Amino acid sequence: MSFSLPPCLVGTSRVRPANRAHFAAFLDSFPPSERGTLLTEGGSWLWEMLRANDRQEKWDVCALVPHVAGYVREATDYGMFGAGWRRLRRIAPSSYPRLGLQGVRHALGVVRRDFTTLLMLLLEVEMASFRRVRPPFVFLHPQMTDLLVAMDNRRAVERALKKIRSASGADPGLATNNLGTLLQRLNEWGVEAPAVLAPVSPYGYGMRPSREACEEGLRLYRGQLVATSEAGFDEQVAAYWKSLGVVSAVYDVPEPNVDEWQAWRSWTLAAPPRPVGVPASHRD
Amino acid sequence: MNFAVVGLGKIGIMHAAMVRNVPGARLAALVDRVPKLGRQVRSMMGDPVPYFPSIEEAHRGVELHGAFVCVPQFAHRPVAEACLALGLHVFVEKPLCHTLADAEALAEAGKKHPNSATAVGFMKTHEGHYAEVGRLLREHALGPLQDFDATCYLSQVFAPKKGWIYTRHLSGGGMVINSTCHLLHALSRWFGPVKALTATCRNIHSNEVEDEATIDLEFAGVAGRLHTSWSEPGYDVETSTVRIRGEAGKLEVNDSELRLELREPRAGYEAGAYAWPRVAFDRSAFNLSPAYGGEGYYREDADFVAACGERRPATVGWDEGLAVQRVVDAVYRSEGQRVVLNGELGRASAPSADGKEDTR
Repeated sequence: MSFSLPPCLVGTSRVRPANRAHFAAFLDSFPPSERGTLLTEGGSWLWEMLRANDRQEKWDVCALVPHVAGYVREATDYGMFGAGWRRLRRIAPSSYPRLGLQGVRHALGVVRRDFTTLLMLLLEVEMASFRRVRPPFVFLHPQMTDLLVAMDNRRAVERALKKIRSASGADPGLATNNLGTLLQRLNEWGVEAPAVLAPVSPYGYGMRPSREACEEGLRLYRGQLVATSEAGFDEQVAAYWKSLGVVSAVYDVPEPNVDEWQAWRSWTLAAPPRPVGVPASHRD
Repeated sequence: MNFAVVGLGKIGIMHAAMVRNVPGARLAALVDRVPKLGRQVRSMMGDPVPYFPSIEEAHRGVELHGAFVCVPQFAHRPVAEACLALGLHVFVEKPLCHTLADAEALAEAGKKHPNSATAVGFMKTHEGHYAEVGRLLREHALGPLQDFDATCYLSQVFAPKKGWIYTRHLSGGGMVINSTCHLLHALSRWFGPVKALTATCRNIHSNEVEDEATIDLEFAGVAGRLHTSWSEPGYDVETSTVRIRGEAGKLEVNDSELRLELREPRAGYEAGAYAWPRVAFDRSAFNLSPAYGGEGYYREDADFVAACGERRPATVGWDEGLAVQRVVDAVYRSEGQRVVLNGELGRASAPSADGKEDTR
């Protein structure tokens, strides 16, 4: 599949339940002629929202899987592996045939509750919920990517990238909050990720282990870089993104508004307005 | 230095991942009574480390210098004491123990092993934006303090639940001892020891433990209210908010940002209003999950590892863990009555039926 990521994606990870009506209004505020692209973990609330008002016709959807927040919550009561297996037990009957095949293929891993096998099944289950929107890009959730990187699990990263491509036909990507470490590991492992999604900031915000290490890794990286920024953006951010060859940025805020979105998506062209603050305790 | 992670639940896995990425540390052993958990966690690793069913067997099998104790809190004391007896440095996840008696005994045991670094996992203190609040307060940025209010919410319990967390004799309590203890520790770091408190705890869904609590806290220079619940809708992630008001300004810190308003130049800032995202203060070299306190987890592990190597006390030692335990114990005993805490570590005392102080 070849899909050119737009300059800006709209993220849904910070949209709280109380803000969903506002988010729906934001989605509707676009001119009928324009298409946008969401980056989302999915969820029944989002599918309902996209089905209403023909929003699905105006919005492409890129996926972020698996939905880690749900697992973390359940892991408190059932443990990490128990939470994963509970999720598998709740799958829709429509997914049984495909998952049954996978289950037989990986029967031994299932019995042993092998982590990589479990992850592949979870990816399969979660991507099934995205099937009707045909995501052009599917990113492995940053908490999963970073757990695999922390555990030095090259095999699981490779298999996740393959699974995403085979199960959804989408281009696979890795989301991370540890860009420098991820790129170093990918290089050491000889694993190629078509896209990487990570915080990118001229102030070094979120660029771990350091801005310099991330820049060093990016010099060798040949895939597409998608930037996130928790600190808004300004002229320097836009210039920095351009200098690093960022292809797309994720606008992910609790209450998005059209004016701000228009400024964000113009980052490739002009200087956006919102200044970034640097705390006094961290000034040079 | 070589470390073992003891207890392979969610938090144990998180520490195992962290330790592998902290400079100077090597994850050398996985320990859990349940072999199945050992197999599962090993399957997460590209280069699995050895599994052992006990810390004693791990100590015999590999060279160890320290241990991260991540078992349920009812087992903290025996496991941590076993680690001390083996001459290990010991990090214990929060809370220090499930009861005040166990916490006091463990703190005493720690003192008998002065060569072992000891730490407790109150990770908020290690988060950059919380540390900045501490700096602002130390430099009197807000002037004389007037009051504060704080909340700590989580969407976890909406019906009776089973498991050790919801069983009082195993967990020691509900939301306060399991989650709010982080915030109680942070407040004590900022304001000093709790002098007195008045608390009411409520069961909404749970049978044995509290689901929510309202705690009026009195510190030496300021007083305020903390409301906490794990039965609050809309909080996928534990979310804490603290607002502090002073004569020269006010601040609000939550899990995503720090806001500051100053009426005059103070602590390196001009007068005015500021808002910084949390990430502006995040100095973790590895962060497993920014939304789930990943910065704090990394930095507390890195601090403990450094303390072991440098033979210095950890930033948050067992004495502070014991102080928080005394506050938590007082919360559970208060039942709407004012409880006075005194002593060098906030030793709890409360009025008895005849009005005299009842030191416990």
